[in-house]
Amino acid sequence: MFDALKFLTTTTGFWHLTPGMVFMWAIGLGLIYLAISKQYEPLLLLPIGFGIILANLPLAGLMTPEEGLLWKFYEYGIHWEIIPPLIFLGLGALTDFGPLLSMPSLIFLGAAAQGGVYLTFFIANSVLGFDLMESATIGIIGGADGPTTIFLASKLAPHMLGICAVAAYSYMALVPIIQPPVMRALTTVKERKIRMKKGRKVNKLEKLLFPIIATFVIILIVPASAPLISMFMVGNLFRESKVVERLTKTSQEELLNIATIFLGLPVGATMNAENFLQWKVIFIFLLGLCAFIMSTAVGLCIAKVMNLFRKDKINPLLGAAGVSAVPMAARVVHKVGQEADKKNYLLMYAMGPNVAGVIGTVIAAGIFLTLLQ
Amino acid sequence: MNNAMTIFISGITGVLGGMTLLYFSLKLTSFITDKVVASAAKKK
Repeated sequence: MFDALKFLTTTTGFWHLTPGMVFMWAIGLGLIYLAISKQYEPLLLLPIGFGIILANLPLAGLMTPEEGLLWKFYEYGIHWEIIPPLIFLGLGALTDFGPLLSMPSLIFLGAAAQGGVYLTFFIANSVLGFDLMESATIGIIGGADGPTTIFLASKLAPHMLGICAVAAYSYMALVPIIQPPVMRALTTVKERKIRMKKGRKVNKLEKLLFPIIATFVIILIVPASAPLISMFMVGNLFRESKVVERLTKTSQEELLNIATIFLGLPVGATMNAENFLQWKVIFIFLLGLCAFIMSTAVGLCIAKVMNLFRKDKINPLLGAAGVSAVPMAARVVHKVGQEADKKNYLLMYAMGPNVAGVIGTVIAAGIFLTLLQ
Repeated sequence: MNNAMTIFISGITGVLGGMTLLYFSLKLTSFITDKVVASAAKKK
């Protein structure tokens, strides 16, 4: 009888609980609190937080290879490159490239913001000693694109996937806090007051051709970016064709929501105590913040350099919108611009580099994959 | 030149090169589509 009771006790989760697991529960609960109470990227941080808790419940076996439910979501959804491209399909169906097409030169601000990605990669490897693949995964946090971060991490450094995803989504939620000091430090009040000249009118044919041409150009240059770019552009083609409203609506709503659920839970579940409770995690979070700040700074600086060669000056604040936290970064640019001039409406102009930044981050990730895989 | 520096330079060059090519593709497309739309409007 006593032996039976002892056996029963030792098969409960309580017997196998470790302090590390309890600490991870606190992390998971903290993310859930931030998602619900502060509304910090709730669509991802809520399932990620819950996934962390599930992965750190002893004997639950949800991440047991070949058997666990969340392991199957991870293996067949993320490792097999299914879910992040489906997220991009939904994002493409939601994206309007009109502001970018009306002023194509803003595409360079989307490129400029990737400077922070590569600078952070270099610092992570040369200064802090992370290996090349880990450094690339940390650097891409600066692109402020969650699905791209998850896609790259799953291929180059799966053990860091959860940490980098949490860092990326946390900093994306903190864009209104992180970016404005950098923007004020690197621009003068006079520059922030610059009014943009109205862009050219974009016809429907051009908006229709953009996803097709972008697919050809980007995939021919960086074939490794094909899974993400192809889905992004087919979603956009659905939207701009105006003949597949059912597909567009499904891509924007049901598909995107389902994919988001199947992305967040397994990403959180990769964060077990063994992976997370290491000193280098602190460096990863610091480098991720550094990546965000440097991406913003490089974007602002390149905008100022562009103004040296332009007759019609662009407001250099638009450089900060190259960080592809859509549409948050564009809203922050608009808000900081309005602090200097209440009647300066920068939001639609800022959407141009904002959506270009998404393309830039995917190209940056594709180049990492090409060089490192 | 170490690996990290090589990847750094290749990456920056690749992103800039790719976006530059995309920029010129968009400029060409907008030029052609403006002409198409203008000639369609003239015919009407």
